[in-house]
Amino acid sequence: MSLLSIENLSIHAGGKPLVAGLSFALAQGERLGLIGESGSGKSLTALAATGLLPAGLTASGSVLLKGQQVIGTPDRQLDGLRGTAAAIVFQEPLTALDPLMRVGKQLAEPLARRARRDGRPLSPRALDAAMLEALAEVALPDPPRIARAYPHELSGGQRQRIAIAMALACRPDLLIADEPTTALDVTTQAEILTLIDRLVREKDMALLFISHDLPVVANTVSHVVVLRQGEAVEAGPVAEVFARPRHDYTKSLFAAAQRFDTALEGGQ
Amino acid sequence: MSTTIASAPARPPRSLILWAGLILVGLHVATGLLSLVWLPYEPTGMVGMRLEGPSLVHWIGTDRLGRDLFTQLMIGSRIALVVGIGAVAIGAAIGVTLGILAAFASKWLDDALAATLDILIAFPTLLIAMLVVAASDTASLWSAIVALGIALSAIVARLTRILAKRVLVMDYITAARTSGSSWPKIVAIHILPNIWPTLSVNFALQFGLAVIAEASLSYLGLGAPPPNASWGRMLQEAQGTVYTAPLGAIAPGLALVSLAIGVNLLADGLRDSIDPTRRAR
Repeated sequence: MSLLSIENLSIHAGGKPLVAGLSFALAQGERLGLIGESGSGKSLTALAATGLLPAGLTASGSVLLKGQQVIGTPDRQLDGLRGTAAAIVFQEPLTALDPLMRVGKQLAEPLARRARRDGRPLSPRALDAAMLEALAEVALPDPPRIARAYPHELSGGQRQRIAIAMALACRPDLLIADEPTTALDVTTQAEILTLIDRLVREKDMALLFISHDLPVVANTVSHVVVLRQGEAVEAGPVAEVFARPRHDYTKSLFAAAQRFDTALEGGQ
Repeated sequence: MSTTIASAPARPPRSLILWAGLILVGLHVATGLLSLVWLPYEPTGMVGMRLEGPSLVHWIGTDRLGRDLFTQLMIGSRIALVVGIGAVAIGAAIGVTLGILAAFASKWLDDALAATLDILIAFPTLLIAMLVVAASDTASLWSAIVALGIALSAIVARLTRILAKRVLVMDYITAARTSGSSWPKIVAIHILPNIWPTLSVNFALQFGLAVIAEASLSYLGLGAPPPNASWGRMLQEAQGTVYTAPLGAIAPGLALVSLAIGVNLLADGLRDSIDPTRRAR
């Protein structure tokens, strides 16, 4: 059975379609990339997958997360599913962390919740240890110091590592990474990608990776879906789609990426 | 290449603001507390000549009935603090609750609440307070406090609503939701702490407003009835003799202004020390 199975998903704002007739499925341990330019409906698809669409947007079709229908299900019933089935890492780590809460306390929240949900609540000391361990797991140096810091006292890369640690704290089966490296510089980007790659492999999670950055996608996932104005224009294994793009839009994406690369090299 | 980065306008150090506020408010709190156990004279006792000037016996003189002004000023401190804290507490309780509800409400309920609040805010605070006092049987200190609290709650609700909406769209709220946090929990640990710095400054402003509004209500005879010596009543009673014995008006006026400024400075200083992003730069 698929972990996440999306069929004929459409998202409307008022009468305007933002995503139309999108279908894909993701099984345990699989990695899927959603590619498209900004405004193509990538992030909305991720939010719809967890039933977190902003008010004013309506979804139709079918989203099965761990066999549970998400569309049309009341929030309260989804709360239990969310903590365990899927977690999201966002693009901008600064807004993904509460600015007024120490990092350690923020990270302890989902850890404690997951433990309670599993029926083995953690003592304050055990929670503290679990929190420090979670910080070490995302390769943050000096966890006790980081735990006491506020988000604004950390670098972008450190913040993103914490956001990843928080997402993993619920031990989800599916990790949704919504442009997790876009706000970071190139070196940090590579580190974060390696980290996500390692963690997904170690924990045998499924990964839904959203990006407009083709090389990043190519190295991270095995299958891709190319979105344009809310419609899937192409889908398949990465190697196939990237080697022989069939759709004009995919070709133009590649051409743009190549032009950008050439321009960069020419400029050096 | 060197560029000069425009620095923020010079501002007195945070500790100075906090201390100035603490001292001013502390002075009033101490006076108010002291008035519970000790007063120089019987507040209603006609202990001196009429309209005496300052002397060693009556530090800032007496009013037109020969009552000691300093005694009345001390009681005024207590009344002002009770009114300020009471009105802000009532306004905050109603306002924050309504504001959070409005932020979460469905579109039409939110619109209805926002429109109602707009209408309430369009009414002058004092007018609403006067209506509430008029609706209750007798004018008392408590009716004035409740009236001011209700009048202030509209502004608090409006502010809370917009602040909460701004926090609600942040990614950390969505992240908390993804990890299975419930709404009440999110309100308690993310929304309230994040809107608190702005709210607390507003509460301080409201405190000042409430104290001044109570003075106005008393001045109009709608506040605490005599013999309660609120600063507003003192101002009203000194009105007729403002040229012959100006201290009768100046003293409560200064007390009023110093408390209002003190509370604002205190809130400003506290906000800066609560908010970690403003701390120690």
